[in-house]
Amino acid sequence: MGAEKPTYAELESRLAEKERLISALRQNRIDALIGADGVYLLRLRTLQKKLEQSEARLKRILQTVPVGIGTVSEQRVILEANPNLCQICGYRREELVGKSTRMLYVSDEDYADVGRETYAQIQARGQGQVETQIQRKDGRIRRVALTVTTVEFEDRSSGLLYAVQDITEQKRQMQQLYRMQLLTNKKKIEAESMNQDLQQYTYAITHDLKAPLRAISNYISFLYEDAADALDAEQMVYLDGLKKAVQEGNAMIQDLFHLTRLDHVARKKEIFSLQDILKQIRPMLENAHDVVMNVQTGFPMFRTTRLLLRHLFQNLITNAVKFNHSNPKRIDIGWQSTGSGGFEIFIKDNGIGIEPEYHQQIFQIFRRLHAQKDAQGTGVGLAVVNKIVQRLHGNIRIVSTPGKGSTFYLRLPASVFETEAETCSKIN
Amino acid sequence: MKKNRFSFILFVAGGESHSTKARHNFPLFCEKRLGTSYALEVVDVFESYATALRHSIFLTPALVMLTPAPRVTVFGDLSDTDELIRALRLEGVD
Repeated sequence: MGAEKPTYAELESRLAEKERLISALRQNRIDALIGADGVYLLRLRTLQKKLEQSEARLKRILQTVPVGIGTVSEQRVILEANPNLCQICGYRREELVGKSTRMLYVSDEDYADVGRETYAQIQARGQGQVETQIQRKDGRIRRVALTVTTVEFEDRSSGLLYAVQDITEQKRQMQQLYRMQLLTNKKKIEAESMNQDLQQYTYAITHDLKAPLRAISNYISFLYEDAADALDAEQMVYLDGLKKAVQEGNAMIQDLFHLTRLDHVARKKEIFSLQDILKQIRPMLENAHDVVMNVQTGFPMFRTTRLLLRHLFQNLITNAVKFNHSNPKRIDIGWQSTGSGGFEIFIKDNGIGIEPEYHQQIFQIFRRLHAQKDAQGTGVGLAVVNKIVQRLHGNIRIVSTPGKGSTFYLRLPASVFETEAETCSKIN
Repeated sequence: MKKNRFSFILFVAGGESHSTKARHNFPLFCEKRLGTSYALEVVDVFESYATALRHSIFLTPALVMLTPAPRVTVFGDLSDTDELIRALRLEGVD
């Protein structure tokens, strides 16, 4: 062979050989490498590499999981501890490895209990879960949840794998939450029963007061019939005053009665128009012939509890008429969309109006602003209005100037109205 | 019996998959292209890797054609017939 000075043909054949070698390597058509010190199987080298990768990955996982992980021998000697475990018990890794797990327990009893309990659970289902307490290096006690399993499947002699979670904080919060819940539940029950008491109380009063008032009213009638001739003019004025007072008392009781009943009104929903409601209310108005009502047309249909809406408008319109000395008494009702399906309805009158400083108070019960001579009312009406509006998840406000009338703006959400989609589906 | 014109050594590594394939493929190739006029020695490097080193073979599977000179080496499982024909200079030989 021309080893010193190869011929062109020899060079070409060597090159070809190198090419074959490279392509065999590239295409992984090689099994083994042969070195001066032995044969290396590429398959094993690949396996080895994979094993190393997987070990490195496992190590990274152990370093980063927010759970304490450690391995312990069958004799309960600590073999390994990840950083989180070290953090939980406050020891460095070197201080733990090689020591008995006893160092972490508060007492011999705890140490024995955990051992017995986890052993039994592992025997039964391959995995144990116990809650116990450990003592940190700094002496502090922490509540921990332990999950224990054998390192090798069903082989206790392979050692135990511990997952440790510090649940001290969690436990404390749970207890706090539990206590708070107990407290709020208690308060809720108290409030509910108080509310119920109040309603029953009001109901009883209104109901029971009616009887004596009716009796007084009857006696007054008897006096008018039997003793009218015997009374002088002044005494007749007293009697008239008495009659009026009883009537007022009756009206007040009636209103209160309605107010308490509002909570019991059935939640059955009906579809009806604003006109339907107004038609019902009109005959009940005093001096109805002096009232001019002007209602904007095209108002959407309601879809809610009819009785609530009737009380609502009845109170507003009654007020508009009652606190009104104009002639004619004008009531304008109009509306506009608030977007998102709801509407704002305004009820405008040319009545006596209300001082701005009272605009907030008028919706509270028994707030009467006007002296008896100006107008009559029980002080319950707007409280009823307010209650109904709240129940319908709407709101109401007033814009008013004394002597120039009042306008109530009533906002009601979409849930109170019949939507077009529903109307269509009903027609179809 | 006339002396074999072609003599080969095939280096394999035990039962590794490429080695096993080469062991299977090459005799079939020889019978088809060379009839019976060849000699083939198979060396398992697990048994004598010194032989491999002596022949400057540092990976398996590897086929060395000792004669006719000059010496040629082919790597892999020897499944590519065209490559073998070219490498072993058998173009035109039937």
